[in-house]
Amino acid sequence: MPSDIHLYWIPLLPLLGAAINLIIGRRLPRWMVSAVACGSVGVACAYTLWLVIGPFYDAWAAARASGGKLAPLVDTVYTWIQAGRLKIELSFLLDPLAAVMIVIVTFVGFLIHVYSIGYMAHDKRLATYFGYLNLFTGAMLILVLGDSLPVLFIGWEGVGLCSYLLIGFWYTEEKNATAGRKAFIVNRIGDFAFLLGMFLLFSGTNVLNIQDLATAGTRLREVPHGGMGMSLAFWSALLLFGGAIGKSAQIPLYVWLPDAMAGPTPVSALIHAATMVTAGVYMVARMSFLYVLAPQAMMVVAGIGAATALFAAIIGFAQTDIKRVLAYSTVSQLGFMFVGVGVGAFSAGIFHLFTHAFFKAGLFLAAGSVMHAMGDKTDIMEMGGLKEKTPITHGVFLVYCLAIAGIPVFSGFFSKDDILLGAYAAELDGWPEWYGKVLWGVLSAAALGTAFYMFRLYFLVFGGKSRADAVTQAHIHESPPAMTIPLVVLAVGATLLGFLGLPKFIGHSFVEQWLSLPESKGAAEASNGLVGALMGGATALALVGIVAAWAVYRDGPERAARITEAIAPLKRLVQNKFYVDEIYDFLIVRPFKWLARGLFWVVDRIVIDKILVEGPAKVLSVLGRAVRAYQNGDVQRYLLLMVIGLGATFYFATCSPPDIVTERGPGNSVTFHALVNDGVARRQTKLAWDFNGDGQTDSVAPDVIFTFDSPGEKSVVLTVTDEFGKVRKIVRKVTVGGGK
Amino acid sequence: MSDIFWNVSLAHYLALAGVLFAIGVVGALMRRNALIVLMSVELMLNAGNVTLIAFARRLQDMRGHALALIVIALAAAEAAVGLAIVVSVFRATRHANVDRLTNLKN
Amino acid sequence: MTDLLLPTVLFLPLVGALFLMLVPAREEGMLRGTAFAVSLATFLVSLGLVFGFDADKAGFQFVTDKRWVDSIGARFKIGVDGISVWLVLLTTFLTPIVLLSAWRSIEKKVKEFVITFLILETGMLGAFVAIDLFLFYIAWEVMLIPMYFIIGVWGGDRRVYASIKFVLYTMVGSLLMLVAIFYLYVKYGQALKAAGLPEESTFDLEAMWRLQLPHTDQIWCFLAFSLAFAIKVPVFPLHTWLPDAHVEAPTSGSVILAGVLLKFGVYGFLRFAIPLFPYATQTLGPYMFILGMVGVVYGALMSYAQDDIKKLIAYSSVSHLGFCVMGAFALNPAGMQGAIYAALSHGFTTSGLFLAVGVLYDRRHTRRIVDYGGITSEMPFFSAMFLICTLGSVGLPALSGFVGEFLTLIGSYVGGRDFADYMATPQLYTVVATSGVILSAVYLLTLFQKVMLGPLKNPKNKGLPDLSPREKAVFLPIVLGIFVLGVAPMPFLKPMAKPVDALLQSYRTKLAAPDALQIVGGAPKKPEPKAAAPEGTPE
Repeated sequence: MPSDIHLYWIPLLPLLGAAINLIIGRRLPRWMVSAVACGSVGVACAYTLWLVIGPFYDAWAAARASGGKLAPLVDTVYTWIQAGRLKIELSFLLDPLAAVMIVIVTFVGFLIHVYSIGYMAHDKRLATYFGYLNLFTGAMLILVLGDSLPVLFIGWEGVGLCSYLLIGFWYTEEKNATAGRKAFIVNRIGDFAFLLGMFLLFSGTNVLNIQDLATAGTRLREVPHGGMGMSLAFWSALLLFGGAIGKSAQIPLYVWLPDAMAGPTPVSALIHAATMVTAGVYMVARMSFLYVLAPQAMMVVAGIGAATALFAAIIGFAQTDIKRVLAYSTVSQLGFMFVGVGVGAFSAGIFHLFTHAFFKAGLFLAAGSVMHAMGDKTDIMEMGGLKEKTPITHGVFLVYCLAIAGIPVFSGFFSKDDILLGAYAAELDGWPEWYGKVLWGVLSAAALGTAFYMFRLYFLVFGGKSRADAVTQAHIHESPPAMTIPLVVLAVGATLLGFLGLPKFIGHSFVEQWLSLPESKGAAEASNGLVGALMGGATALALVGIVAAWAVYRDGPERAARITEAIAPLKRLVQNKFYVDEIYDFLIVRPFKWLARGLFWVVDRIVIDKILVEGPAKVLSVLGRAVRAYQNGDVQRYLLLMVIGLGATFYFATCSPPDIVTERGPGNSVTFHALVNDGVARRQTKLAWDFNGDGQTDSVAPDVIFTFDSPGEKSVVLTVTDEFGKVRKIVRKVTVGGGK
Repeated sequence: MSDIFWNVSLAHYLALAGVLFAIGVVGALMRRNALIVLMSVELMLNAGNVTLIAFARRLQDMRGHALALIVIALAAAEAAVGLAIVVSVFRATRHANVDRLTNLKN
Repeated sequence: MTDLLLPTVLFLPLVGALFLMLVPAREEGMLRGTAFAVSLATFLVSLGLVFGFDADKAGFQFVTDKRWVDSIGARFKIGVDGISVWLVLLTTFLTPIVLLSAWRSIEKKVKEFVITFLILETGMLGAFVAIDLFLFYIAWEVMLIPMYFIIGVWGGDRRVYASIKFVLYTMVGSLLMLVAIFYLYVKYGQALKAAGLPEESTFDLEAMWRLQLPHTDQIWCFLAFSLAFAIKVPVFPLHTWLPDAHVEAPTSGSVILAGVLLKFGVYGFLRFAIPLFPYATQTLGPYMFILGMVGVVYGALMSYAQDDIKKLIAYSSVSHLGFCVMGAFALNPAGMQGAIYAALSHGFTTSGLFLAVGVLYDRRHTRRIVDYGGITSEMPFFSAMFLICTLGSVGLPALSGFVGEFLTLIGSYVGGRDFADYMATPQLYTVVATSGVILSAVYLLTLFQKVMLGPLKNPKNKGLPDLSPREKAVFLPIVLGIFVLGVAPMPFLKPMAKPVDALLQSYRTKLAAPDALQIVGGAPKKPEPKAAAPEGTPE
C-alpha cells in the first residue's frame, strides 16, 4: 500500500463540507450549497472506492496469496487525550471490515445526498440541512474508522447528535422536536452502558485501543476484573452491547426509531441504511474478539436480536404510515443482524448489513418519492394505484421488497439465509443445544412476517385503485431525475450485491473471505444438504408471506378490515405498538418527573433551605424580636441603657469578689492564681496566702506554686485586703497529689 | 467639721464633679427638649473637666490641664454640630422633642 | 521581563480600577470602554504566561517572592503551575467577555460596576496565583466582597436575600479555613522548633506541603479547609446558596460566579486540602467522592424540576462540578487532570449558557421557560450559539465537556487503586455518576426544546432581534473555546500532568510518614538569610 495514504481525509471531507454549509451556507447560492455537500461526500466516496478497490484490495490479495494476515492500515493523526496511563490517539484504522462500512457509508450516503437535491429543493434551510447531512456522514465515518473505543465513541455520539438535529429539522412542530430529543436521550441511555463498558475494559487492561484490546487476550477472560463470577469479557461485552441496543434500536430501546420518521425522508434513509443504526452491529463485529470470549454475552445479543426481529415484524403488520412500516422493518432487520453476530456468524451479520443498506435506503427514498407524488401524505390507506403513474418508483420498490422478503437472486436472500444458517447451526460453548434452533424458528417467523407486511405495503401503495382525494390524485407525478437516478442505482445494488456472498455449495463467499472475522463452527461445517434445505424453507416462507399479502391486500384494505374485525382488540394492541411508549411513560418518564419535583420541594426547599439554613436564622430573628421592644428609637432610652451598661462594666471591673484558680502540677505541687480585679486600685490590694492552715502568711504574690508535704485534701485560705481596708477571706479545698 | 467644710480638698472637687455629672446624666435621660439634652451633655463633659483639673493640681501633672483643654475644644465642636442637627431637625419637624424623634426604630 | 509578567497580570485590573475612580460617573461610554480595554489587555498579557510556560516542570513558574508582613512571616509569593495557569487564563478570558456582555444590560451605577468588576478580577487572580496561605486567604476574601455587591446592587428582585445568603455561606466556610491556616502556621513553627531550628514560622505553601500533622489534627484541618471549598464547589448539601445567587445576580455576575468562582472549590481541594492532609484525605476522601456522586445525580434531578432557565443552569453546575469532586478524590492522574479539565470546560459551556439566558432576558425580561418557545425562528444565529453551549455542557465528544467528563469518570472508575484501602467500590459510585450523562441530556435538551424549538406560541416573542455584533463578539470566543477544548485537549492537559504527578508523589510520601508532627523530607535549610530577598526591592 502506498505509505502516503491519509485515512483522515475520508471523514474530514464531509466534515469540511458541513463546516462550510453551516457557517457560511446561508449566504451561498443554493446550487453551491448542494455542490459543496454532494461534492464533499462524492470526493470522499471516490477516494474510498479508489482506496478499497485499488491499493487496499491489492494488499489484501497479496497477503492472502502469501497466506499471511493483512496488517490493517493505521493512520495516527495526533494524541487526543493523555492522562496517567490513559492514552487515546486520534487514529483511524482501515481493515476489511471497516472497508465494507466506509464503502456503504460514502456510497449510499452520496446517493442520498444527490437525492436530497431534488427532495429538499423547496426548503428554505437547505444549507443547514446539507450541513447536518454532511456532519452525519462524517460522524459515521469517524465511528467506522476509529481505531480506539473513545474515537469510535466520537462518531457514536456524533451520529446521535445528527439524528437529533435532523429528526427535529422541522422544529417548528413540537412533535418533531420531541422526536429528536427522544432519539438523543434514548441513545444516551445506550451510551451510558457503552461508557461503562469502556471503563471496565480500561480498568482491566489499561488500554482502549481496539487492536491492543484484541491482543490483551487472556486478561479479558480473567474473572476478578468482572465480578459476580463472570469474566471481564462478559461484562464489558454486555455493556458495549447496551450501547448497541440504543444505537441500533433493539428491545428495549427501539422506541426512538419509529418516531425518528419526523425528519425529512432522505434523513430516514441515511439513519436506517447507511449510518447510525448499523453502528451497533458494526461495533459488535469490530469487537468480535471480545464477544467470542464471552459466549454468554453472545447468547444475550442473539436473544435480544431474535426477539426484536419478531416483535418489530408483528408491529409492522398494523402500521398505516408508510415510513413507520419501514421503520419497524428496520428494527426487525437489525434484529436479524444481531442474531447473525450473536451466533458467531459475524460476516453473515455484516453481509446482511451491507445488502440491507442498499434495499433499505432504496425503500426510504422510494417512499420519499411516493410522498413527493402524494403531496407529502404518508397514510397508506389513502394511497393505492400508483403503479402506472410512477413507473420507476414502482419498479424499484418492487425490487427492494423482493430483496427484503428474501426471494432468491435478490441480495437479501443470500444474506438472510446466511444468518438463518448461522442460527440453526450455532454451537457455542455453554449454549444449550436447543437455543440455536429456537433462534432459527423465531427468525423464520419474523422472515415470514417481513414478506407479508412488506408486500402489504407494496399492494396498498401501488396496487388496486387510488383511494386519495381528487386534488391529490391530480398532483401525482413521477419524481425528478435527481431522485430517480439514485433509486435505480440502489435497485441495481439491491439486486446484484448478494452474489458477493454466495452459499458454499454454489461458489465461495467473497464477503466471508474478505472480512475474515471469527466464524461460527457450526455454519462452516454444515452440510450442503442442510444449507439447501434451509434455503428452500426460507424461500417457501417468503413466498407464503407474499401470497398471503396478495390474497388479502391486492385490491386495497377492505378485505383485511373484514378479516381483522374478528380480532379487533388484538389489532388495536398491535396498532398501538403494544403500548410500549405508554408503558415507558408510566414506568419511567413520569416517576422521574415526580422524583425530581418531589426531591426539589422536599429536600432542597424544605429540609435544606427552610430547616437547616433558615432555621438558625429564624431562631436568631425570634430572639431579636424579643429584645426589639427595648429599641423603640428613643435616644434617651439608648442612653439610659448605655449608662447602666457602663456602670455594670465598671462594677465588674473593680468590685467583683476575688477568686482562686488552681492547677495541679507534678508531685504535690499546685499552682494558685488569685483572680483580683484589674481595677484602678489594684496596686493597693494586699494578698495573703495561707496554704497549710497554720495562720501564718505563706506568700503575698498573686501567682504562686506551692508544694505540699503530703497528698490529700487541703484547705487553702486567701486573705484579700482592698484599698479601703476591707478584708475578705476565701477558703478553697484542693486535692493534692496524683497529678501528671 | 469646719475643717471639712472650709478646707477645700480634692474630695470637694470630686464631689462637685460627681454632682455635676449626675445632674448631666439625669438631664440627658429625662428632659425632652433636644437643646436641654445637649446642655446636659455639656454638663457631663464639664464634670469630667473639673475632675481632670482637680487631679492635675493634686498630682502636679500638667497633662491633666492639656486634656481638659482638649475636652473643651471637643465640647465646643460637639455643641456646634449638635446644635446644627437640632436646628435642622427643628426645621424638618417643627419641634425638638426627643421623645418623638424615633427614626432609629426603622 | 518575565519576572514582571505575573504581577502585571495580577495588578493591571486593580490599576485600571483605581484609574476609573478618577473618571466622572456620567462618562459611561468611557468607563465601559476603558474597563473593557483594561481587561482585554490583562488577557493579552496573561497569554504570555501560556507561551512562556514550561510544560515539563512540575513546580511553580513566574514566581515573584517579596517580603511582605515580616512580623508574621507572610510573604508576597505568587506563581503559577500547570494547574493554576489555565484557571488564570480562564479568569482573564471571561472578564472582558463579561464586561462586553454587560454593555447594555447594566444601566445603573456603571462606574461602580466596572470598578467592582476589575477589583473582583484582581481578587480572583490573586487567589489562583497565591502560594502563600495568608495571601491566599486575603485574596479569597477580596473576591467575596465585589461579588456581594454585584449580586446585591445589580441583582434581581430578591437580590438582598441572595447576596446575604451567598456571603454568609462563604464566610462560614472561609472563617474556619482561616482558623486552620493559623493552626498550620503555629504547628509549622513547632515542627521547626522540634527540628532544632528557630521558631520562625511561615505561610509559604510550598514549605507547608512538607509539614506532616498528627492524624487527628489532619482530620480537623481537612474538615475546616474542605468546608470552605465544598461550599464553593458547591457540594451537596451545601449548594442551596448557588441557585439563589445565580438567579438574582445579573448575567455578568452569574457568568463569573459559575465560570470562575466555583472553580475555587476544585482548585482548593487539589491545591490545599489533598496535599496538605493526606491521611485525612485517605480517611475522608471517599465520603467527598460519594458526595460528588450525589451531587451529580441530585443536581441533575433538581435541574429537571426547574421552571426558571437560570435556576436550571445553576443546578446543572451542581451536577457538573460533582464530576470534578469525584475526579479530584479519585487520586489518580486521569481523575485529577479530568477534574481540572472539567472545571475549565464548565467555565466555557456554563458561561455560554448564562450569557444565552442573559440575551433572552435582555429582550424579554423574563426567565420563565414557559414564556418562550420557538425562538429559533426569530434568532437563528443565537440558536446555534445556544445549541453549541448546550451540547458542550451535555458532554458531546469533540466538544469541551466530554474530555473532562470522560477523564473524571474513567479516573473515578479505577479510583484510588494506587492507594491500598482507599475506596472499596468506586466502580459502583461511578456507575451511578455516569448516569449523569443521560440526565444532563434530559434536562438540557428539554430546556433547549422548550425555549428554542416548537411553534412560536407567545406573540411577544415575535420579531425578537437576532444577536447584535457586540453579542456575537461575546459568544464567538466562547464557542470557539468549546471546540478547541474538545478537539485538541493535549496542549491543556500536558502542563497539568507534571504538577498532578508531583502532587500524588508527595501525597504518597506523606501518607507513608509516621503519625507525628514533623517536616517530611527533613527540615528546611537555614531560614532564608535576609540577603536572599530579591535585590532591588526597597522594602
